[in-house]
Amino acid sequence: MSHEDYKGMLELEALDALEAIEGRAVREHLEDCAECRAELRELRDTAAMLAHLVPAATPPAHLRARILDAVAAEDQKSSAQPETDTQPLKEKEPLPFVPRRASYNWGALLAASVLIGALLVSLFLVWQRKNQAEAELAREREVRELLSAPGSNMVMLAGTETAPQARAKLAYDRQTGRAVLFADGLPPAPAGKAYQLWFITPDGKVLPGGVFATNQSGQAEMRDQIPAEGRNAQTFAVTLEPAGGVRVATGAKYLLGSKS
Amino acid sequence: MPTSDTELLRAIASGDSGALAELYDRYRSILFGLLLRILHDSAEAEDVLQEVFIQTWRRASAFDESRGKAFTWLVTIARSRAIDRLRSRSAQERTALRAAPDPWEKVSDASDDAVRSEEGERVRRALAEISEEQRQTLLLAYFEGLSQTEIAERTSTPLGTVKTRTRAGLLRLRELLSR
Repeated sequence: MSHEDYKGMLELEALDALEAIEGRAVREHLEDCAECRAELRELRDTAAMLAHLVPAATPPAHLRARILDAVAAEDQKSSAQPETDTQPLKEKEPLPFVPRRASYNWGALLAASVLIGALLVSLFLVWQRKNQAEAELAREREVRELLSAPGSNMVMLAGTETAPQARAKLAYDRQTGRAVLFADGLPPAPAGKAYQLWFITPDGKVLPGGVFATNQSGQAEMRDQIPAEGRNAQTFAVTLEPAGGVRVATGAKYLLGSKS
Repeated sequence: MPTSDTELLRAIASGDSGALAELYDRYRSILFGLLLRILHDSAEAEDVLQEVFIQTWRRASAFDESRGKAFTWLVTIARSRAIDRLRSRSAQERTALRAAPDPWEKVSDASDDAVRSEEGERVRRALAEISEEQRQTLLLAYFEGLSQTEIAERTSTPLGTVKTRTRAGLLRLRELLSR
């Protein structure tokens, strides 16, 4: 595609309205094109102006204190006992990172396509049951595109003793950091709590990921952006944390999985 | 001299919770209004607003002024989190919400002008100058988080036309707002 083609996609990107595969292509182009970056910046600023259309509404006064308390609590935790806090997540020793060779490993490709096939079938069945045709087709496309990217990975997370019924699939793109997590069988989070994803790198760093809630059937779906320093993570975990999420894991682990 | 948003974000990145409080006071009302509009649920809007500022606290160092204004950054976080929640709701709940008035209808009603910001007026005037179809497409994409395909289905319009309207609408809006 030419620069002009990409340029014509920036308006949609500014509204997050591109299909996943186009979005990825545009973001790759942006890395090399200062002109498009500047254009997108302006278009994003324009899109954000639409927020002014809505009448302003004052949130309840207690929310300010709740946020500042949550932030203070995070800091205290991270400065007080960073080692013990991160320790529980290191239960499984991360495997050493072995760079992939460019040559094809047919066995792995076959296994990956079986996994992709199984994922698509299970997604399809869940979706069919929930009868959410519109949104779900878009999701299926998103996962398929995510898994067909050159840097794509999929990790299965298993429930820990705390939640033996739970399981999850995490699909992510190592190049862009885009990630989608599908979880199932999680108990509903108590009030004020939510689940949070963690990325554990080979050198033992535990990086915070997105926060999510489940629906009434214990299912959850979350999109996240893995920070650059977490894209070589070998181990992934989900813990129960305060609803806003924390910087350092404190809660019980519910899901755990490593890259095979 | 008042501190700029970018300076506040820098202070937040260095761990200054007072700066976070100041940023919150500056944008809480517009963000809460936006979240209420997308989610139609006060408790959920509060939760997401909290998430937005906690994410701001955790990721302020990732803010890059060369990629957009701080206001854009905050609004983008708030909107995408709200739309993720919207999408996790059941189809039934979402259908019920479609009956909600779109912000354009609501604010163009002259009797409902209790809170009208100066910026809001500018955007409203600009939107009044673009075509009805372009306006509808932009608002569906922005406030409902609908994909282009979903907008095409909802409005019984060919996908190509929807894309053209979205692009033209946003470009025209930018032009009008830069006057």
